[in-house]
Amino acid sequence: MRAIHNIIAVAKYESKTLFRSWFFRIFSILSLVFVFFYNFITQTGIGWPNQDMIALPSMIPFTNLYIINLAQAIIAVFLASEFLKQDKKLDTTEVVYMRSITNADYVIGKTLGNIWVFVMLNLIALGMVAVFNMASPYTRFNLLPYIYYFLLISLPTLIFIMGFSFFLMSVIKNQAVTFLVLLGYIAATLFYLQNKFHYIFDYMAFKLPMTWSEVVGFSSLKDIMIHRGIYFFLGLGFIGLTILLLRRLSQSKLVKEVVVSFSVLFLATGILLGFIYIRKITNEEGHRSVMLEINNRYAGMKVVRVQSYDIELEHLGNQIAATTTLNIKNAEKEALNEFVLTLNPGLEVQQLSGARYTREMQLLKIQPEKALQPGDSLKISIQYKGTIDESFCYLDQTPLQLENWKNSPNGVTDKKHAFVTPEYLLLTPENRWYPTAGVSYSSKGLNWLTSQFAHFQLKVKATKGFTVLSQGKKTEDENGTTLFQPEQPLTQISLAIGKYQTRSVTVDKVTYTLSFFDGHNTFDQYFKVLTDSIVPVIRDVKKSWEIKIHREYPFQRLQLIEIPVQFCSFNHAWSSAGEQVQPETVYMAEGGFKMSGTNFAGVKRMSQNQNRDHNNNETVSPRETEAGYLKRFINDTFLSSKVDPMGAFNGIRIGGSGPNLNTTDILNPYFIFPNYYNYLNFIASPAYPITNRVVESYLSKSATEGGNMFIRTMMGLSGDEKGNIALQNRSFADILEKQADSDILNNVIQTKSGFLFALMKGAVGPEKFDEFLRGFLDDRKFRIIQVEELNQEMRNNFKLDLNQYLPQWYTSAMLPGYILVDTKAFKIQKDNQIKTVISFVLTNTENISGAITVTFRLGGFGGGGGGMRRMGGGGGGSDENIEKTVVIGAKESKRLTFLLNRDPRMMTINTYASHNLPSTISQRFDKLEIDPKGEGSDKDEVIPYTDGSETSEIIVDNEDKGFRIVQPVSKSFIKKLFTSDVPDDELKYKGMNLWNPQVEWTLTTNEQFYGKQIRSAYYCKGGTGDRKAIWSVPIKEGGYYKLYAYIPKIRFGRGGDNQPDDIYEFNVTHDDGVDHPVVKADARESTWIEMGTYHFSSDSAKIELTNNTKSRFVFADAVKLIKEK
Amino acid sequence: MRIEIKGLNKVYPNGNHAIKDVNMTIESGMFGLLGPNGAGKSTLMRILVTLMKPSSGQVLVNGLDLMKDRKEIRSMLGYLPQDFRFFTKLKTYEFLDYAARLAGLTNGKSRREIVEKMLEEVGLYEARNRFANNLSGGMKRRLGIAQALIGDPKLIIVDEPTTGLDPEERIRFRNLLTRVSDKDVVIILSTHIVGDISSTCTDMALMNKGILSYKGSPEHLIELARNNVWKITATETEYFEIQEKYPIISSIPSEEGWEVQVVSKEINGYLGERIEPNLEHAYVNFMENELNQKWIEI
Ligand SMILES: Nc1ncnc2c1ncn2[C@@H]1O[C@H](COP(=O)(O)OP(=O)(O)OP(=O)(O)O)[C@@H](O)[C@H]1O
Ligand SMILES: [Mg+2]
Repeated sequence: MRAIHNIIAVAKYESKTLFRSWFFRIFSILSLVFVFFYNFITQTGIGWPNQDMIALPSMIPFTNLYIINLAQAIIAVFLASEFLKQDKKLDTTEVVYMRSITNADYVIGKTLGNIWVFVMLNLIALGMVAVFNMASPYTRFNLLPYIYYFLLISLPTLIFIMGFSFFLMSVIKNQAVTFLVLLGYIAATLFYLQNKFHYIFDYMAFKLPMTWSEVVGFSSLKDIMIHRGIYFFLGLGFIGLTILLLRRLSQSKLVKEVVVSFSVLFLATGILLGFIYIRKITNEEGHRSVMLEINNRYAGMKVVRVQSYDIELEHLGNQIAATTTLNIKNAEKEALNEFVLTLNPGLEVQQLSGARYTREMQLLKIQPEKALQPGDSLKISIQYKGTIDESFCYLDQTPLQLENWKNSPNGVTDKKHAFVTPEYLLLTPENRWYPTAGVSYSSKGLNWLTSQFAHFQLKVKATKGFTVLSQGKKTEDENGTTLFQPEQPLTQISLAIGKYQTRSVTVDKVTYTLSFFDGHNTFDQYFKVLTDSIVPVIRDVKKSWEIKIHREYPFQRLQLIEIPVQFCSFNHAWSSAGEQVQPETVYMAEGGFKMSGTNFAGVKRMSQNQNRDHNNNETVSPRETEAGYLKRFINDTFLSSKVDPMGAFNGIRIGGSGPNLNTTDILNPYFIFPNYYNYLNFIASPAYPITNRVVESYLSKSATEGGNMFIRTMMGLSGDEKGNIALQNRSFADILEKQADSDILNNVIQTKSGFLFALMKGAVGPEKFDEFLRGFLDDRKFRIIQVEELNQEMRNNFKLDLNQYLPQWYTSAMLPGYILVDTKAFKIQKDNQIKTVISFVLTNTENISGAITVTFRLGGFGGGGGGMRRMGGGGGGSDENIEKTVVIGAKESKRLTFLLNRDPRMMTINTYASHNLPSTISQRFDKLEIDPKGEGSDKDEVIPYTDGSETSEIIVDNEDKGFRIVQPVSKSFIKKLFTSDVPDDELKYKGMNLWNPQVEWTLTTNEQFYGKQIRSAYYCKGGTGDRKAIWSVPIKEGGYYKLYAYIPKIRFGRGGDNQPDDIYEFNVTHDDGVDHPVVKADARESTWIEMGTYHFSSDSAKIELTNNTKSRFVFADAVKLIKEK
Repeated sequence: MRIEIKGLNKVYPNGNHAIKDVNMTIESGMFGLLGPNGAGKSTLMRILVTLMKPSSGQVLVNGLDLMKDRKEIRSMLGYLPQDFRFFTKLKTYEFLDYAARLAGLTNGKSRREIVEKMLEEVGLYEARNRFANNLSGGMKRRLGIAQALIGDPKLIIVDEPTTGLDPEERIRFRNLLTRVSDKDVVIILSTHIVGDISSTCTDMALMNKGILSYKGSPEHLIELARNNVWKITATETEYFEIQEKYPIISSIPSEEGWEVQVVSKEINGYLGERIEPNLEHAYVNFMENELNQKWIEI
């Protein structure tokens, strides 16, 4: 009793003192003001709605607490270290220390006093947030996450950081040192440790996956509690140690002993929880490698075809029970004594009839009574029960990939692949919730890869009141079972059970349904008048999309189903389809979380602002506005292959920086494309299993043409370039096998696919080829196509043999390389019409043939890809493009002439996989003159080999031997420690970031740079002259030379002009001394700029460029010498 | 109440031997501790209030061992340190309330009464809502006294409680202590103001360089000085001679020159007379004449 009285007394006055300290007051006022404005902006109609918070109301307390917690963790360190320092300094401490109070009471009182004040601050802030939340016009209020996040984020952080700082202060006894150590620790967890070692060091829960779904809550409350428990108990343990280390004579042996035992107990608990936490993960990794090893063992086995599935499934809370009957056929040419099926290892087989079987983790080894002869069928029935073992999913992802997976498209770091809970169930094919033929993945090649088309029938029994959603025609009977019968053979089937509401509309024989969780209809407020006019909108969007993709939607329904936010899917190298897109189904993250298309509130708010600014006269009817929202939603969600990076980075937990400036494309997981290819066609190729992926890449690319130049200059290399750089000295086969970075892999596949199809299109003619390919695929829907079939058809139609291209394309590391010279462009009068002639010489300098595509952009407006985000609307621009593909042999020069009916604005040559970096070459055309004598027609003639070089010039480029850079090594150890890890397979060329230029010389590529094939240069930030680029030009013959430097013109910022004071300072060492010519970079185009005439004797001339300039950045590219006559 | 100090020694970590083999018994009542700067008074007191461990020796408080029964002893203590200037950001009232709570006053209502009464007694009631840090030096001292006396401590240890107090306050303080000392309480106060002791203490000790050199009543100390205190009427030149020879207690310029009070066994021909010694004289006499002779105890 007395102890409690003492603790309260100490705590009371400690909290009073803390509360009265200016430091704390300023901090709390600042945080409350910040919280106020942050919520005022994000949650009222006056500010800008935050889409994350609208989609997922738990983000409101989360985001707020996240910020407060970070701030208070730092403040607490300071205050806690102050605590012991003050004790030493104050006279009044003595009159407290001589009182009859135990050391434990004293320290506990102090700690509680401190924590109490912070807790109050948290509660006041959260209360304020809650008021905003309840009043928000955009979203719902949910109390539970407020409580959870407070208890799981704030409290353990506070207890830990207090205990830890008290403890350190008691040991180190110097406030400044303690403070530095602790801040270092915080900085390390924030910037370096982050998610490393499975978030084990993340005491602030800064990166720990903690998304809370309104449907299923946390993905694993237990795991989170273990993690937070680590810090909670360590904190308590440290407080205990502080008691023992307190410099005051203790007054009770008993209390001391109790404190010792509790400290030990708490610390041990913390450490134990840490072990439990890590062991769970390492166990999982071990488990995964065992499963992978088993898969590898059976990957070579012949695979049977499953022709039909009859699945009966019952949802039993945390389990499912199912009976699946499979009709299996031997499609191989030999008899099968044994074959394997894959079933999730969390599902226990209870009975299997029709054959003998053995189970090894995820594999079912089936031995038919007698060998299954070619063409024979077998019916087996498997009864199983259990839950989904999620560690089985995505065996193709290495532990490192899993750990580094942070820029998830849905911005959530939780990784749920299935849900089996009493409130909700979601099963996707990746789970293997029904048995499939063969293995799910093997790290040894791609030969196990199959996709099968089977007739499905699914019968589901779910708890009353739950809605069951799957593929096919749905019928419900009176005793609560739901039957699904897909009309076509499908590659896969998925299942969702939950408290859903469903709305649907049928347009042109396709039924579109939207299934969302009860109460999640906040979007209704944006669609008040649209109602029936939704039909033409859908019809229009679908039509224009299908014109672009040249294919037709093959199913009778398209359902959009909301699923819990933690669902995540990784991309497999062999397919662009993620689990979110299933046959006739798209699973959408809860509330449209992180989907730019669902940001109705933002769009509405923005258009309100625009209307006010422009005082628009042309009024848009509400119906048109709403149709705009819908169109934008459809375009952004289903019809874009990539996530708009500007939209994806608005989450506060995302954001990668560091030395790797190359952008990573984030694939849009909701891209509808698999429903136009993957779920209806599959090309099987035993020799080149990647073929299907290559065709897929070609089709999807052509449906989403149009890169984003804005992103390129701002953040780095485009996907094609990354693919091209990766291919410079490695074969496709090699990269497929060894490349771990899935982004680079995707880019390589895309580049290689473009190259292969350019070869074929070049040989056949692009339109003809495309028409053929699509027709071929349309005739062979819902079945496996053997690549031989495709080859046969091509031979028949075009006398084109795929096998002529494939081997070299697949295994050779050689690439073509092109030089473009002698471009002529003029107009002529022909048949009473003005036409334009463009002509140039193209040389392939390499020993392997290649193909390029020339695109002329005619007339129109607005050159490169749109820079700003388009709100509403969609689809491609209206520019007319003319596209020609040309095949060019090894070591061959061709003069290519094109006759165009309209003025070209720009010519772009795509060289696909080649030695040209960047892989596109473009040229703009200004006003062209009529040449009365000119002539021309479309021509493609081989001319004598020329590489276009002129003998009178000596050029040293940054790629040449004579070039080098000199710069101090500036990376300190600390800096290295805090920049996030550099991937091993980093690309040689980095992207250019002109908003924040690199301080060091950085090698980068750009069309504006000089280079025969590799148009690269070094760039760095303007500085003091400590960095130099040096060209040593070999001189064969002494004499006077005119010296030039190549000054690239990179468009940057508003107006895209170099600043007038962009100045390059060179040092030229010549026979009469050293000169310092200064070059102004004010030319309109990238060009050679003269720097004077100098006398150089034989040997070599030395030209230096330093970073001593006021301009933002400097490029070191090439110099040229021309001998004076 | 009875405090027994046996063979007490304190050697600071830097080797400073601040208390050397002190033995004494202190009974109920007011006990004065006198000694020059650095004598070890504060050190002794800090040991008594359990802020510090002695290097050797034993202290028994009513038979309780200071090293073992800290809990009980602490609950009997009231302490005012010598330095009492820097407070945390608390108001006068709050600080006293804090002390009262820690002193074991658990009942909120009665505690409030006691605290308010105490504030009135030390004349701080008006200042109760001011931050303690902003009080004047003397007011801080009074607050210190108040917190030392709150909760009826049995053993009150005050280190130079009266420094910085105005005369009126000093008297008030003396009366306060005297009132408390009526009960079965030990009050140990150290001071340089001899008057404080002579007017209040029944028992006292004198410390010098860590050694307890006198322990007994103030009267006896004065007795020792009898015949050794002189009042000399001296000329200007004599005055300077006297200054060289004898410890001077006071000197007042007069018409003939100077009237000087000195402590000495004889005055060797100067014109002077013996006067009645007071404690101040006794202290100087003791330091000058007795210290280097022998240990005196009554
Ligand atoms: N923390 C310490 N470490 C080392 N020596 C100390 C310490 N505190 C005091 N001393 C020394 O111990 C001796 C006794 O000091 P103490 O403060 O007890 O004297 P005091 O009698 O209270 O003097 P004053 O009348 O000036 O207050 C002095 O020589 C002093 O320098
Ligand atoms: Mg002292």
